[in-house]
Amino acid sequence: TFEHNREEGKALPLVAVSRGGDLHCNTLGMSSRDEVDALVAGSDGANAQDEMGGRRPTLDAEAPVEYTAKHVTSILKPVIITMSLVIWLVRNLGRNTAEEQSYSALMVYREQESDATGTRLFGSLLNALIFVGAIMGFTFVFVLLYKYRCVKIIYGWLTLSVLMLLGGSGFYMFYSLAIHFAIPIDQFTFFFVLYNFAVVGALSVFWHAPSMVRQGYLVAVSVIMAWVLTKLPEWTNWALLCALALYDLFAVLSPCGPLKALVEMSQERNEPIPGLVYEADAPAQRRTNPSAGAVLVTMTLLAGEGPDNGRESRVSMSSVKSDPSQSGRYANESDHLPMGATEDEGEMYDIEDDYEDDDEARGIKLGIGDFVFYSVLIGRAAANDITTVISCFIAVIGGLVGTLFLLAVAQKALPALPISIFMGMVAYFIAVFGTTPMMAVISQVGAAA
Amino acid sequence: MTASDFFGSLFITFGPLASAFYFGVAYRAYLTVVSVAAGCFWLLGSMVATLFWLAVVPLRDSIFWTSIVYSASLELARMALFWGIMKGEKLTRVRRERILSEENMLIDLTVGVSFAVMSALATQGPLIDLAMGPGTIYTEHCNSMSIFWSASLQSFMMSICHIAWSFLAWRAYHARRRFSVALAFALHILAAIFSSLSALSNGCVPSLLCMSVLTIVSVVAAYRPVRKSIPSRVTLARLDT
Repeated sequence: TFEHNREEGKALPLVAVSRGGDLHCNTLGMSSRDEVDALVAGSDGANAQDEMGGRRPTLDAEAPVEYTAKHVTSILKPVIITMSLVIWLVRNLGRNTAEEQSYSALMVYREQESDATGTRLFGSLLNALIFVGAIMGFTFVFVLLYKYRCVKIIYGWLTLSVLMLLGGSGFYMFYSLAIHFAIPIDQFTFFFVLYNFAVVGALSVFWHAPSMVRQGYLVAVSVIMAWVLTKLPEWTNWALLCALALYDLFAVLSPCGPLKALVEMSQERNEPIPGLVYEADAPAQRRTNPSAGAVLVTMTLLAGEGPDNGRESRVSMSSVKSDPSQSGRYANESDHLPMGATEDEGEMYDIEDDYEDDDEARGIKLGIGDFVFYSVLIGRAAANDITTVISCFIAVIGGLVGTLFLLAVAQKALPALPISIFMGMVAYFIAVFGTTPMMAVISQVGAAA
Repeated sequence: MTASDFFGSLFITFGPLASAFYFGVAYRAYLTVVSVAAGCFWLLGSMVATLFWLAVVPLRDSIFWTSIVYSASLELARMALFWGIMKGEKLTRVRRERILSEENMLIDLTVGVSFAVMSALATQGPLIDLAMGPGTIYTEHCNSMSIFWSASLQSFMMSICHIAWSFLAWRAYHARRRFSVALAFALHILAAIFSSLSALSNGCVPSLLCMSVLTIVSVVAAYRPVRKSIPSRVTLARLDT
């Protein structure tokens, strides 16, 4: 049967029984009988018995697709955790009514409920343009610092930003939580814990820390920043999201884009791109096909092989917004930091270097800015009903997966924000104005669909 | 509403789905990615139904037609998902692995679970929100049981149906059997109609009974094409030798 069916491109069906005993079907293309025998012999060592006592060939197929998918899911998990935490915070700490809104020093227009639609639209666009302009300016400064190898300034800048964010905005968030849940805590304990939280966070992100602690703090940074940004007025929020998605397109795809320049410089120097990035844990399975590494990409990532046959981890970059002030005033900056030091830099040491060798793949990386703005959109949706939240959640996650898929197809650097933000916004407005009332008609009588 | 009522109805709605996802989907990363894609297509179907519902004003007052439009849209989304996955497989050149091929019924399960989870969240989510507040809500059409219990039982049966329709429809898409495609379509529409019977006076019990029958019919209808897709022992024996 095998020989007879061996045609170009036609797959040979194999039925496999996995170790757990559950039956699943898989199909592989084989070019020779010897490969089938080798595969069977190389399986987990036993031919499974079916319920009738006959022997079946067993198969332990960890295909490149599965390996790539593990990388994708390894980055989906922290994104989902971040968005879930922001949803929880927004729904518990207030739904951003007019009284709860905050304003930034960069905002020239202060939204009022009594303003006309045109005024709100124009004002919010103006605010968004100023924010993006500030981000662009800081990004160019960062690129210049990196170009002239002012690494210590970059380190200091980002460390200070993270400290201010965890200590300042973190104080605001934890204080609000303590008030909301009536947690009995004295000021001394509160500030002692907060101080340690902020300092340990800065050390974990930029110095020694177990991977899980670093990842946890990066998620915390994203959550705090996203929650703070959701407190901006509603129209300004949406305009900011649109503007940043467009800026991301320009920064990555345009020949004069700052992020593109940064990527090219880091490639020339064979260094990781400096930035506040989340690195997911690499799947345990070794990569069997080096070319599969080309699709193991992150946001705004480079397609194609790296200098070391594609085993160099792909890097991501994004702008991260920090809040150096405590009173709800915001300064948007592009914060980038070299994530892992080389062996020559004795001051900083990336603990993950312990686990890096030529045979092990590295995890996928995603910029913290992407976490933040996905969560801002979800936080906006959380101020409405649960149908809107679900729609936006799936849209953002789907956009992220779609971006990774497009990357595999296009094989060139792509920005992370536009697809997810666009899908999220479409889902939000359709949900608010249509899906929610439609679902209310169905669910009000206890029906399902 | 008591805590036991709340958790009881919550587990009836989401317990089987959580188990199906955990034991059938989550252990394979590529299935998780496929489930995300299925969720997106569900969302697309939901949005198309919403736009149609908004455009056709008389629909808004009729729960029957609303449910029918919504169900039809979801079935079209399921078909679009199949087409999308096939195209995606070709574009990413994973034909050697053929993960998404006809023999891999885990994809059918994944799509069914994903659609079921999304539908359950969309229809039960607003009620879960209401359940957090004080009191228990009854509808005037069905005062024999609270809306949470009737909705959770409806969702439970609809979830099983979604999984069965997924198997039925996907086997039919692979084999290009139009009758089976139409059957899946018709069963979903019928389920929407039966579920909407709750809107009639004292309609929740008949609705649940009709849904139970339809669930059994759906599972039986899905069984045959699934059984046919599993290779026979003769084929397995030939491979073995």
